[in-house]
Amino acid sequence: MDRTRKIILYIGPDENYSNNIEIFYHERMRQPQTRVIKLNEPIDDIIPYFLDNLPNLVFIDFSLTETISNHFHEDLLLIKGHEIFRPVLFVGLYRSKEQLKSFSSLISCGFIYHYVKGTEDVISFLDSYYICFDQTTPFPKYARARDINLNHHVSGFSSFVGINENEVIVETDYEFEDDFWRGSLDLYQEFQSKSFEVIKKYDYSGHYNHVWTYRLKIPFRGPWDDESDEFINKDTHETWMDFNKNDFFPQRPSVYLIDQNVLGLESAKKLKNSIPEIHLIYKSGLDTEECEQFEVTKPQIIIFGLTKDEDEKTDYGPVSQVISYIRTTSSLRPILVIFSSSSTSEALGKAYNYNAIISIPAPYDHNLTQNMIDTFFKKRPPKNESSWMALSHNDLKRIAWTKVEIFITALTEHEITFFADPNIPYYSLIRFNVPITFYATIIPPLSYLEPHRRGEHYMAIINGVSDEDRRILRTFVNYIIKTPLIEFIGPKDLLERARMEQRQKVLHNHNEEPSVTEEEKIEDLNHKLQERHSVVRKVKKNKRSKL
Amino acid sequence: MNTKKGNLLIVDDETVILSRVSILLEDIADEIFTANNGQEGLEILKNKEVHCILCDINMPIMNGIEMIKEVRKTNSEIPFIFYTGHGNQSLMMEVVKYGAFDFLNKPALDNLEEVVQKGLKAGIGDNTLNGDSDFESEYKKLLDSIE
Repeated sequence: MDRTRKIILYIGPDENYSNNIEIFYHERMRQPQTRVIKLNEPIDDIIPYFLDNLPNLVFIDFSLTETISNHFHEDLLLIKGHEIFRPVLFVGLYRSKEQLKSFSSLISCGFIYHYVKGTEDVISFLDSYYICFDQTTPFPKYARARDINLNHHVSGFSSFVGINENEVIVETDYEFEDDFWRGSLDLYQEFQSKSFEVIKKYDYSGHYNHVWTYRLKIPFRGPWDDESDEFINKDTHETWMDFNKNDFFPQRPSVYLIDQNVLGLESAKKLKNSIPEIHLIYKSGLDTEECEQFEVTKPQIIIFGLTKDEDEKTDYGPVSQVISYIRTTSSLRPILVIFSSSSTSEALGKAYNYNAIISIPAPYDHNLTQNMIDTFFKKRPPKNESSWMALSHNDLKRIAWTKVEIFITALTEHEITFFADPNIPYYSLIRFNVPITFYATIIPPLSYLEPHRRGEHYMAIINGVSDEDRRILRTFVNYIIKTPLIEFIGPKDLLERARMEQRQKVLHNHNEEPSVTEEEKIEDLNHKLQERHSVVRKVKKNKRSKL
Repeated sequence: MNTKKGNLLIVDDETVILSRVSILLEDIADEIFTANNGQEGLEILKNKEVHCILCDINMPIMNGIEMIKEVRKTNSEIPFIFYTGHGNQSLMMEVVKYGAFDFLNKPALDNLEEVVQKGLKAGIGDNTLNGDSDFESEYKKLLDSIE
């Protein structure tokens, strides 16, 4: 996408916030050509606003929203799955952290940055500006705790895709070299396993906004296995699958639309109400590795919108790739429908030795495609023979967590740096639970970060926090600047440790009164922790003016 | 009722094939022209109205691929039916990029009349059904055939 042109779309009711976006760009960043479009419209049908305006950056204000439909998630996934729109940044705005948590299904559909509305709107503008437009823009200077050098583990946002009697499919941003995926799923209480043997790993993500797909074996308890949570009783799983059938739906049949045309997005949206799941691939074709997704999605129709080269030859390469892959399988035999095709169905069938081809010389046509899909599924209604069960996009049980080991190097109230071994793509979102729960979006670093034998050195912007959270983080950073930690701990533990250290000092120097400054430090920390539970937000304009 | 059958051009370097096929198809087309290679075929196209071309792929001087390339450069969409021998898959995949109508296997030439008749109809523009419905009916037949 063209980053010199700046079009920002704000969807929501907050005029103050949307006006401030404009002020930020026009005055602070001195970019009067930036267009900020403000819409106070229902968010359920976002694709038309999107196609009408083609924004680089979209703020969606959920603060007055109570629920988000499955439909909205599907629209997001269509947009983010479209190669030309994938770089568009979606920022979520929330009234509270609790609301953000209840809408966290949006994260794997493309929302990689979250702002809990408060007094620090500018942070959301600056961070989104950095991510979206200019990665040379310096951040404000925050107190930085350096050389933290502590091991920690965090949770990488991932998505449950489907489950059957023996396997589960997860999509994630994290690639591991060994044969296990380590993480957790929130399906049911007994499903506590944290380590799953990998049956197969795919270099694609066909359902959500991730990078990798893992097919995993459910670790059933064998006769010699212990009673630990690492194993699941098979009969418990089968009973649960049976009892909870209504929460799930069977894997839908698939139809692929492989088309470089932007209009493919509009057509895919209209086709969404059809029986099959529509997968939109906005590029000329799929390579062999990408075709492996068909093992899971099992498409029944694949529709191509082809192009001609400068010699007016039709490029059948994408068709050839797909047919080559299909030949390696025994169960796949989708119908291939080819638009903008110069040869007839008969000729193509014989050339590629594949007799299920429909060739259409005209460009892609939505109505014809809809008719073909409807006709197909009228003749062949899905028999629910797939044993795979899936959840709605907006079901929170769908959120899975990949365990990621990191080595924290530095922290401010705004960003965190760490080493990690798995190769983590930029703009992945991870969750920390210490010292508070917060999200961190991995970004290209502002300045060079030294690599290390421990792995790549990453920087992540902290987000999804309230004003109170920022105060706690600030206190925490200030504390560890002065008192290095031996482990990355939470505020209660920090306070307890501070008290213990104080008691030990008192015991060691039993005639000596604790220093006033130490006492004040403890009281200050205690006071600040109590503020966390306060519902009163204090506006501290003077302290925030540097932002 | 359209009684025009259309004119056919047969291009093959094997004279025996040329004469045999001409005889087999004499009732299918209004006029049949023959050429021994692509170059000769192009010359005929300059001077005669042709509605369908039945063409070998491997020929000296100018082969079938080069011939279809040259014809398409003139923006002509005239249907091309190619003879292929066994194992010519890569040549077929090259040819389809330029818009092939069908392929017939040498030497059996199964369905020769049926395919050429369809090619001539397409070349004349004799579509008794409108564009979209052609595909819909073709699609329904395909669904029936693979069930």
